[in-house]
Amino acid sequence: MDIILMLIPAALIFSIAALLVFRWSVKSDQYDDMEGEAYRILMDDESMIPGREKKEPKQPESDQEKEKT
Amino acid sequence: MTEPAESACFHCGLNLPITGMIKANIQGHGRSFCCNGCAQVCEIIHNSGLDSFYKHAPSSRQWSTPEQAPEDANIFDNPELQADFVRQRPDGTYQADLLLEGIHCPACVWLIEHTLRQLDAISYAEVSYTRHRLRVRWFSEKIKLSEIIMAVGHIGYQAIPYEEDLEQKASKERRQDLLFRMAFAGFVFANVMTAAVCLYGGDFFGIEQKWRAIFQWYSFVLTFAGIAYSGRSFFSSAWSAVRQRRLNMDVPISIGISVSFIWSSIVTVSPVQGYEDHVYFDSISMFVFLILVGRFLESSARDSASSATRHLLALLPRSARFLNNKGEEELVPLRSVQQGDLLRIKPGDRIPVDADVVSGHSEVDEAIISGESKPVTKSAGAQVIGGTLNMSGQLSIKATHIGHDSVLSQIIELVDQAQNSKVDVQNLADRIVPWFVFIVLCLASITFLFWFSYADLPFAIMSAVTVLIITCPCALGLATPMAITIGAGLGGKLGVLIKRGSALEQLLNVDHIVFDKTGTLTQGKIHVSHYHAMIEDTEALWAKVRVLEQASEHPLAQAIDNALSHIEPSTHMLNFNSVAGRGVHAEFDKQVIHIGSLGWLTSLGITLDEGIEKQFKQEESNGATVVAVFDHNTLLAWFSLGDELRPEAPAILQSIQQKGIALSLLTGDRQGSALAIAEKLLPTSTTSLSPLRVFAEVMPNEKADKIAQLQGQGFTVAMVGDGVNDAPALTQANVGIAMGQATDISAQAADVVLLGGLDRLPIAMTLSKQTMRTIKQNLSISLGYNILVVPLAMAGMVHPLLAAIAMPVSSLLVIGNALLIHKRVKG
Repeated sequence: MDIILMLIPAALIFSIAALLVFRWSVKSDQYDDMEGEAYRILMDDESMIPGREKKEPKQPESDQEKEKT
Repeated sequence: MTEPAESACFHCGLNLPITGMIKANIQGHGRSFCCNGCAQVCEIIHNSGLDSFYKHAPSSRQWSTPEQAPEDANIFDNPELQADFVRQRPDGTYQADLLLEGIHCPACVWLIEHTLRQLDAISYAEVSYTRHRLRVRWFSEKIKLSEIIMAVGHIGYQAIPYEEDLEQKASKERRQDLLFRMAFAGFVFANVMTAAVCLYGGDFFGIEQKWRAIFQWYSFVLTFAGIAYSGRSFFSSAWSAVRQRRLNMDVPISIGISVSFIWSSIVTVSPVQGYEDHVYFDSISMFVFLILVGRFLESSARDSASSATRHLLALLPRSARFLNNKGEEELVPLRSVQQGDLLRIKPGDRIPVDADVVSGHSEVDEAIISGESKPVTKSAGAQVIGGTLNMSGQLSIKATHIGHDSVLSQIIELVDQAQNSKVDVQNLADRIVPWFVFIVLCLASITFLFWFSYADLPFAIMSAVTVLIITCPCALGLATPMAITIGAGLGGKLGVLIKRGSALEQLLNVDHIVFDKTGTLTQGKIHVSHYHAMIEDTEALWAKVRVLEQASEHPLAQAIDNALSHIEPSTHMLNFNSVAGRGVHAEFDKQVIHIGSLGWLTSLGITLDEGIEKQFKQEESNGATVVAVFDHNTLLAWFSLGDELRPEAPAILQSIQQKGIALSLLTGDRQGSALAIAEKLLPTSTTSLSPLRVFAEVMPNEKADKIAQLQGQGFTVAMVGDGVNDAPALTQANVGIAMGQATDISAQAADVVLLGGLDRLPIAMTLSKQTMRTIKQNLSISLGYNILVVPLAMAGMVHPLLAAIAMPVSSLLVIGNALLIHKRVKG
């Protein structure tokens, strides 16, 4: 049973570490947008495929659009 | 692929116009668009390879027309102006926060982020969906901020640099603090529970005194930290309430926490042999945690509603066309404009400051200030108000009032003040609290006295304390916030933005609803309601009218052009000329055609039939504007233009009337036309219920007085309105309901914003009814729990394990019941 005297402080240290990590995440605004993040994971399906993130050949066209105005 | 039906615009999902829709070939499919804006946006999205935007956008979308890229974006490259909102980061990039207009769904977030991330010059782009904010970092040598704003503009969103004010910073800090305190309470709860399980185990299977003491001390230390850090806000709030001789929910919460904690501490520090030596640390920490979860959810619901309406700055332009000594035009930031400066206003510009017109002639849309949809003619000597929209001509103005002195800022300030001083009406739970505290204290005293005379002192104290502990109002404290949070969250999804939670409670008590006419019951835009030709060959005549009106910049001309959109414009126009304040004329095959006001017609000496003249008088008394088409001596055709009723309005008003709620119409129109509209909305012949009351000829500044008058007659009044001019009335009403995009001052003044349109009003009422019903049920659940357990506690028969189970179960029942609002409103 005496092992409990070791385990309780060990558990406490772990949970305090978790608490500090949580504090960091709150301070760095990670909980500012609680709704958007839930959808973000559903959206990124296409860029998961490597090499499709940027569509190089089509770039110039959109640049042209910008220059026109 | 989710696509709107064939009859809807491929981009925005609005119904396609019968004539004049745009066809384009995108991704190998023929797509139809409602306007050029949508088609352009869609093409750009396709060209950047982001077509999957349409896969994610909801198929039932009904968005407003895409925002235009701002013309004056390069003003934001001005280093002086950038000092306020652009920051250089250590890695050499620049960072700015931009407020976004036109975000409808999570797919919009995806689209903006991906469009920007495709640009090499941008190192970071992230959009906050709830706050409609874009944080972007860029390399200043490769791209300018104005180019970023334009890139976002091309895909249909408006981005305005944004700077957090002090109040917003403070509220963000409060939110983060609350979140962390909640997490800390959770940490305490979890750890204390570990020890509690050991202690309960010991109760059943036996435990050495040494281990019991260790676990109790462990819980004691953690719970103390939890109360001191996470729970201190309850005590400070309860203390300030007691000092003001009031009782709020925090008072019983504080009593419950302190009594349980003191009792458990005494048991821990000096265990009395042979007596009850149970501790309640687990119940305390669970209680603190649950209440904080409720508070956090409540505050985040309120927060998201208010940040969605903080777009007031969008009303004023950020730049002005400054005329320097040489008479040259320069685009300057608004803040550098001084009193007495000469500015130029082009058609389509918003007027940046309050000013006097020096020269020029134009029509100005003052709807945001006056609520009147018809533009006002302005020429030299007239005053113009900052924030209003210049429509037809060019003006030179001299700035008279700037910044805080301007009409718009003063209205905003007034509304802010009124809104801040509007006290939350005491809600149902708050009214129960004093009774609750009183009864609990009585029962505890009775228990003490009873056991003191029939048993010994320690047993009497213990039983009385158990009564105080077990009545801990966890469920009572959660009953209202949970229901309102879930009601408000559901409202946001259904297009009903609840800005003040108590509005949901009050809406149920409303017995009189006042509607503003313009923009609320009507479309708020001028349409051609009907038109007649006096001659046979109408086709040729309309072709001429159309080309003439296309050449004109007058707002009425645009409405006529829209009405004739099915006709091919004539191509034989010569010598087009526009006469200020009268109309336009041009030659077609030697025939001169005039289009203009009736005043112009008579001043040219053209006489009208008596019948026609009578009809025109009738039209004008109904609030319509008549535009005449004539050649050198005869009237050829005429158009009647007016603001049309929203098609859904009569049905909605009827359904509300059937609930026994009195209705009123508030308008600046003349009595006759107001009555005519009332008759159209709710025909008096079809119902025996009390008719629509009409308050006509009400000046914008008298609207709030009318509401106050009705309140004086004992009505609980809800006001439905839109625009700056309704803002004071919305604040005066018990429940202010604003229409529209939640971007203007009326949304700031209102308690509820109907984002979808008038048909959201019945939804808001159902939501209110179901939320109230849930609150009442929740209160019964929590009181029922007390009725069940208090007799046991008084009899001295409560085991702490029972308390540890019964208390969370009652809270969970309350939370679960609140979640049922979803089902009740939709089903």
